[in-house]
Amino acid sequence: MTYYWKCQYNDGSEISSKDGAVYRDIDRAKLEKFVLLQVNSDKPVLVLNLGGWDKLIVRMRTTISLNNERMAVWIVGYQGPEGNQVVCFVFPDGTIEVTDGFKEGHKWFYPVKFLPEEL
Amino acid sequence: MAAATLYVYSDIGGTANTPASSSRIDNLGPPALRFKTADDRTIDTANPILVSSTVTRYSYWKHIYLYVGINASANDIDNIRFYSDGAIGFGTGVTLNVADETPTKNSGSSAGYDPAAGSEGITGNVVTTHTDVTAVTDAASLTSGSPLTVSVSEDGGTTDPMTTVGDTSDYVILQVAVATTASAGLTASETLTFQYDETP
Repeated sequence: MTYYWKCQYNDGSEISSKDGAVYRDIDRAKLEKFVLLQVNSDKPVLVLNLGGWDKLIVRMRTTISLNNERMAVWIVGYQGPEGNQVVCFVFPDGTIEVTDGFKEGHKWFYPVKFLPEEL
Repeated sequence: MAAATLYVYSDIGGTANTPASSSRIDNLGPPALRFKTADDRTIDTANPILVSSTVTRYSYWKHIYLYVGINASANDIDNIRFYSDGAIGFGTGVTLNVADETPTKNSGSSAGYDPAAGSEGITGNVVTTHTDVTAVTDAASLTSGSPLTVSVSEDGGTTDPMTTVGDTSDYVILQVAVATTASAGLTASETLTFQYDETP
Protein backbone atom coordinates (compact mmCIF):
# COMPACT_ATOMS: atom_id res chain seq x y z
CA MET A 1 0.00 0.00 0.00
CA THR A 2 1.39 3.42 -0.89
CA TYR A 3 0.39 6.74 0.57
CA TYR A 4 0.37 10.47 0.01
CA TRP A 5 -0.36 13.36 2.36
CA LYS A 6 -2.60 16.37 2.58
CA CYS A 7 -2.39 19.36 4.93
CA GLN A 8 -5.46 21.31 5.96
CA TYR A 9 -4.94 24.88 7.15
CA ASN A 10 -6.93 26.99 9.58
CA ASP A 11 -8.02 29.30 6.75
CA GLY A 12 -9.77 26.45 4.93
CA SER A 13 -7.10 25.97 2.27
CA GLU A 14 -5.03 22.80 1.81
CA ILE A 15 -2.01 21.45 0.00
CA SER A 16 -1.25 17.87 -1.03
CA SER A 17 1.79 15.91 -2.06
CA LYS A 18 -0.40 14.42 -4.76
CA ASP A 19 -0.41 17.87 -6.37
CA GLY A 20 3.34 18.18 -6.12
CA ALA A 21 3.73 19.79 -2.71
CA VAL A 22 6.74 18.66 -0.67
CA TYR A 23 7.38 18.62 3.05
CA ARG A 24 9.24 21.93 2.97
CA ASP A 25 6.14 23.60 1.48
CA ILE A 26 4.02 23.05 4.59
CA ASP A 27 3.06 26.34 6.26
CA ARG A 28 3.36 25.30 9.88
CA ALA A 29 1.97 28.60 11.18
CA LYS A 30 -1.50 27.76 9.98
CA LEU A 31 -1.36 23.97 9.92
CA GLU A 32 -4.42 22.42 11.54
CA LYS A 33 -4.58 18.85 10.28
CA PHE A 34 -2.22 16.39 8.59
CA VAL A 35 -3.85 13.53 6.69
CA LEU A 36 -2.19 10.42 5.23
CA LEU A 37 -4.20 8.84 2.41
CA GLN A 38 -4.00 5.76 0.21
CA VAL A 39 -2.83 6.57 -3.30
CA ASN A 40 -5.21 4.19 -5.05
CA SER A 41 -8.43 5.02 -3.19
CA ASP A 42 -7.79 8.48 -1.70
CA LYS A 43 -9.04 6.92 1.53
CA PRO A 44 -7.52 8.48 4.67
CA VAL A 45 -5.63 6.05 6.87
CA LEU A 46 -4.42 8.53 9.47
CA VAL A 47 -5.58 11.98 10.52
CA LEU A 48 -3.41 14.01 12.88
CA ASN A 49 -5.06 17.02 14.50
CA LEU A 50 -2.44 19.50 15.64
CA GLY A 51 -2.62 22.05 18.39
CA GLY A 52 -1.12 25.46 17.76
CA TRP A 53 2.20 24.62 19.41
CA ASP A 54 2.62 21.09 18.10
CA LYS A 55 5.53 20.56 15.69
CA LEU A 56 4.71 18.15 12.87
CA ILE A 57 7.22 15.38 12.12
CA VAL A 58 6.88 13.25 8.97
CA ARG A 59 9.27 10.85 7.26
CA MET A 60 9.33 7.82 5.03
CA ARG A 61 11.69 5.27 6.59
CA THR A 62 12.84 2.89 3.85
CA THR A 63 14.86 -0.30 3.81
CA ILE A 64 16.70 -1.55 0.75
CA SER A 65 18.50 -4.86 0.84
CA LEU A 66 21.44 -5.59 -1.38
CA ASN A 67 19.03 -7.78 -3.33
CA ASN A 68 16.83 -4.76 -4.07
CA GLU A 69 14.00 -5.73 -1.72
CA ARG A 70 12.38 -2.54 -0.48
CA MET A 71 9.95 -1.60 2.28
CA ALA A 72 8.78 1.83 3.44
CA VAL A 73 7.19 2.79 6.76
CA TRP A 74 5.60 6.21 7.15
CA ILE A 75 6.35 8.13 10.33
CA VAL A 76 3.74 10.73 11.24
CA GLY A 77 3.78 12.49 14.58
CA TYR A 78 4.34 15.66 16.51
CA GLN A 79 6.37 17.15 19.28
CA GLY A 80 4.44 19.26 21.78
CA PRO A 81 5.59 22.41 23.55
CA GLU A 82 6.85 20.44 26.56
CA GLY A 83 8.89 18.12 24.34
CA ASN A 84 6.30 15.37 24.57
CA GLN A 85 5.94 13.30 21.42
CA VAL A 86 3.26 11.20 19.77
CA VAL A 87 4.51 9.17 16.82
CA CYS A 88 2.55 6.90 14.48
CA PHE A 89 4.30 4.29 12.33
CA VAL A 90 2.23 3.28 9.31
CA PHE A 91 3.33 -0.03 7.83
CA PRO A 92 2.81 -1.18 4.23
CA ASP A 93 0.04 -3.60 5.23
CA GLY A 94 -1.93 -0.76 6.83
CA THR A 95 -1.01 -1.55 10.42
CA ILE A 96 -0.45 1.56 12.53
CA GLU A 97 1.63 1.48 15.69
CA VAL A 98 1.54 4.50 17.99
CA THR A 99 4.27 5.35 20.49
CA ASP A 100 4.85 8.10 23.05
CA GLY A 101 8.08 9.08 21.34
CA PHE A 102 10.99 7.69 19.38
CA LYS A 103 12.75 4.65 20.85
CA GLU A 104 16.47 4.03 20.51
CA GLY A 105 17.43 0.47 19.66
CA HIS A 106 14.25 -0.39 17.79
CA LYS A 107 14.26 -1.34 14.11
CA TRP A 108 11.56 1.21 13.19
CA PHE A 109 10.98 3.48 16.21
CA TYR A 110 14.44 5.07 16.50
CA PRO A 111 14.67 8.89 16.27
CA VAL A 112 14.68 10.88 13.07
CA LYS A 113 17.21 13.64 12.49
CA PHE A 114 15.07 16.63 13.38
CA LEU A 115 14.81 19.60 11.07
CA PRO A 116 14.98 23.07 12.67
CA GLU A 117 11.26 23.62 12.12
CA GLU A 118 10.47 20.39 13.97
CA LEU A 119 12.14 21.47 17.21
CA MET B 1 4.67 13.60 -4.97
CA ALA B 2 7.24 10.96 -5.60
CA ALA B 3 9.47 9.08 -3.26
CA ALA B 4 13.12 9.02 -4.17
CA THR B 5 14.64 5.83 -5.53
CA LEU B 6 17.99 4.84 -4.13
CA TYR B 7 20.32 2.15 -5.43
CA VAL B 8 23.24 0.30 -3.90
CA TYR B 9 26.48 1.01 -5.75
CA SER B 10 30.02 -0.27 -5.51
CA ASP B 11 33.34 1.23 -6.56
CA ILE B 12 36.19 -0.91 -7.90
CA GLY B 13 39.60 -0.57 -9.51
CA GLY B 14 41.60 2.58 -10.00
CA THR B 15 43.87 4.19 -7.46
CA ALA B 16 43.56 5.82 -4.04
CA ASN B 17 40.72 8.38 -4.05
CA THR B 18 39.95 7.57 -7.70
CA PRO B 19 37.98 4.39 -8.41
CA ALA B 20 38.04 3.19 -11.99
CA SER B 21 34.38 2.26 -12.01
CA SER B 22 31.19 3.04 -10.06
CA SER B 23 28.15 0.91 -10.77
CA ARG B 24 24.87 -0.32 -9.39
CA ILE B 25 24.88 -3.76 -7.76
CA ASP B 26 21.43 -4.26 -6.19
CA ASN B 27 20.12 -5.41 -9.58
CA LEU B 28 22.84 -8.03 -10.11
CA GLY B 29 21.51 -10.79 -7.92
CA PRO B 30 20.57 -12.45 -5.87
CA PRO B 31 23.25 -12.57 -4.73
CA ALA B 32 24.24 -8.99 -5.51
CA LEU B 33 27.72 -9.30 -4.08
CA ARG B 34 30.26 -12.10 -4.22
CA PHE B 35 33.23 -12.03 -1.88
CA LYS B 36 36.28 -13.26 -3.75
CA THR B 37 39.99 -12.64 -4.20
CA ALA B 38 39.62 -10.27 -7.13
CA ASP B 39 38.43 -6.68 -7.44
CA ASP B 40 35.36 -7.03 -9.64
CA ARG B 41 31.55 -7.19 -9.44
CA THR B 42 31.09 -10.41 -11.36
CA ILE B 43 28.80 -12.91 -9.64
CA ASP B 44 30.71 -16.13 -10.23
CA THR B 45 32.86 -18.67 -8.40
CA ALA B 46 36.15 -17.53 -9.89
CA ASN B 47 38.94 -16.43 -7.53
CA PRO B 48 37.68 -18.06 -4.33
CA ILE B 49 39.22 -17.36 -0.94
CA LEU B 50 41.49 -20.35 -0.33
CA VAL B 51 41.33 -21.93 3.13
CA SER B 52 44.77 -22.12 4.70
CA SER B 53 45.84 -24.55 7.41
CA THR B 54 48.10 -21.92 8.97
CA VAL B 55 46.78 -18.36 8.48
CA THR B 56 43.52 -16.46 8.15
CA ARG B 57 42.78 -15.41 4.60
CA TYR B 58 40.59 -12.62 3.32
CA SER B 59 38.44 -11.59 0.43
CA TYR B 60 39.29 -8.38 -1.38
CA TRP B 61 37.41 -5.64 0.45
CA LYS B 62 34.28 -4.09 -1.04
CA HIS B 63 33.28 -0.41 -1.10
CA ILE B 64 29.49 -0.06 -1.25
CA TYR B 65 27.20 2.94 -0.74
CA LEU B 66 23.73 4.34 -1.38
CA TYR B 67 23.26 6.35 -4.58
CA VAL B 68 20.29 8.61 -5.37
CA GLY B 69 18.96 7.40 -8.72
CA ILE B 70 15.65 9.30 -8.83
CA ASN B 71 14.51 12.19 -6.65
CA ALA B 72 12.00 14.29 -8.56
CA SER B 73 10.87 16.21 -5.48
CA ALA B 74 14.39 16.83 -4.13
CA ASN B 75 13.45 15.11 -0.88
CA ASP B 76 16.04 15.18 1.91
CA ILE B 77 17.55 11.75 2.64
CA ASP B 78 19.57 11.11 5.78
CA ASN B 79 19.77 9.01 8.97
CA ILE B 80 21.32 6.07 7.11
CA ARG B 81 21.94 2.74 8.80
CA PHE B 82 23.40 -0.58 7.70
CA TYR B 83 22.84 -3.96 9.30
CA SER B 84 22.56 -7.73 8.87
CA ASP B 85 19.91 -10.12 10.14
CA GLY B 86 22.19 -10.91 13.07
CA ALA B 87 22.92 -14.46 12.05
CA ILE B 88 25.60 -14.71 9.40
CA GLY B 89 25.40 -18.31 8.24
CA PHE B 90 28.71 -18.60 6.43
CA GLY B 91 29.75 -21.49 8.63
CA THR B 92 32.52 -22.16 11.11
CA GLY B 93 35.57 -19.94 10.71
CA VAL B 94 34.03 -17.58 8.14
CA THR B 95 33.30 -14.03 9.32
CA LEU B 96 31.89 -11.02 7.52
CA ASN B 97 33.64 -7.92 8.82
CA VAL B 98 32.33 -4.38 8.42
CA ALA B 99 34.67 -1.41 8.83
CA ASP B 100 33.79 0.79 11.81
CA GLU B 101 34.61 3.86 9.74
CA THR B 102 32.51 5.06 6.80
CA PRO B 103 35.09 6.93 4.69
CA THR B 104 34.18 9.88 2.51
CA LYS B 105 32.23 9.31 -0.69
CA ASN B 106 30.02 11.92 -2.30
CA SER B 107 28.98 13.21 -5.69
CA GLY B 108 32.22 15.15 -6.04
CA SER B 109 34.79 13.06 -4.21
CA SER B 110 35.91 9.52 -3.47
CA ALA B 111 38.42 10.66 -0.84
CA GLY B 112 37.75 7.58 1.27
CA TYR B 113 38.51 5.13 -1.52
CA ASP B 114 41.47 2.78 -1.32
CA PRO B 115 41.49 0.06 -3.98
CA ALA B 116 41.28 -3.54 -2.87
CA ALA B 117 44.47 -5.53 -3.32
CA GLY B 118 46.12 -8.79 -2.41
CA SER B 119 47.15 -12.00 -4.13
CA GLU B 120 44.47 -12.73 -6.68
CA GLY B 121 43.06 -16.21 -6.31
CA ILE B 122 44.55 -16.66 -2.83
CA THR B 123 43.84 -13.84 -0.36
CA GLY B 124 43.14 -10.15 -0.10
CA ASN B 125 44.94 -7.73 2.19
CA VAL B 126 43.29 -7.39 5.61
CA VAL B 127 40.91 -4.42 5.60
CA THR B 128 42.64 -2.67 8.49
CA THR B 129 45.40 -1.86 5.97
CA HIS B 130 42.86 0.31 4.11
CA THR B 131 44.02 3.91 4.55
CA ASP B 132 40.77 4.95 6.26
CA VAL B 133 39.98 1.86 8.33
CA THR B 134 41.31 1.14 11.80
CA ALA B 135 38.83 -1.41 13.16
CA VAL B 136 36.05 -3.75 12.11
CA THR B 137 32.90 -5.24 13.58
CA ASP B 138 31.49 -8.68 12.88
CA ALA B 139 28.40 -8.10 10.72
CA ALA B 140 26.50 -10.56 12.92
CA SER B 141 26.50 -7.98 15.69
CA LEU B 142 25.26 -5.19 13.42
CA THR B 143 21.52 -5.68 13.69
CA SER B 144 18.51 -3.44 13.09
CA GLY B 145 18.59 -2.54 16.77
CA SER B 146 22.34 -1.94 16.81
CA PRO B 147 23.32 -0.93 13.29
CA LEU B 148 26.28 0.79 11.69
CA THR B 149 25.59 4.51 11.29
CA VAL B 150 26.47 5.59 7.76
CA SER B 151 27.50 9.21 7.36
CA VAL B 152 26.74 11.56 4.46
CA SER B 153 29.35 14.02 3.21
CA GLU B 154 27.50 15.82 0.44
CA ASP B 155 28.24 19.56 0.16
CA GLY B 156 31.37 19.11 2.22
CA GLY B 157 29.53 18.51 5.46
CA THR B 158 29.10 15.48 7.60
CA THR B 159 25.40 15.88 8.27
CA ASP B 160 24.09 17.22 4.98
CA PRO B 161 21.28 15.16 3.51
CA MET B 162 21.34 13.61 0.08
CA THR B 163 18.95 15.59 -2.14
CA THR B 164 19.78 15.33 -5.82
CA VAL B 165 20.41 12.58 -8.33
CA GLY B 166 24.00 11.42 -8.03
CA ASP B 167 24.30 12.23 -4.33
CA THR B 168 25.66 9.36 -2.27
CA SER B 169 26.24 8.14 1.23
CA ASP B 170 29.77 7.59 2.47
CA TYR B 171 31.34 4.17 1.97
CA VAL B 172 30.46 0.98 3.83
CA ILE B 173 33.47 -1.33 3.58
CA LEU B 174 33.06 -5.10 3.81
CA GLN B 175 35.44 -8.06 3.89
CA VAL B 176 35.12 -11.80 4.52
CA ALA B 177 37.75 -13.44 6.74
CA VAL B 178 38.34 -17.19 6.42
CA ALA B 179 40.04 -18.79 9.40
CA THR B 180 41.95 -22.06 9.40
CA THR B 181 38.92 -23.78 10.93
CA ALA B 182 36.74 -23.10 7.88
CA SER B 183 35.57 -25.81 5.53
CA ALA B 184 36.00 -25.58 1.78
CA GLY B 185 32.99 -24.95 -0.45
CA LEU B 186 30.32 -22.36 -1.21
CA THR B 187 28.67 -20.59 1.72
CA ALA B 188 25.02 -19.68 2.12
CA SER B 189 23.80 -16.28 0.96
CA GLU B 190 23.16 -13.54 3.50
CA THR B 191 20.94 -10.46 3.54
CA LEU B 192 22.45 -7.04 4.21
CA THR B 193 20.26 -3.98 4.48
CA PHE B 194 20.49 -0.21 4.25
CA GLN B 195 17.83 1.89 5.98
CA TYR B 196 17.25 5.63 5.57
CA ASP B 197 14.80 8.45 6.24
CA GLU B 198 13.30 10.69 3.60
CA THR B 199 11.19 13.83 3.90
CA PRO B 200 8.08 13.18 1.80
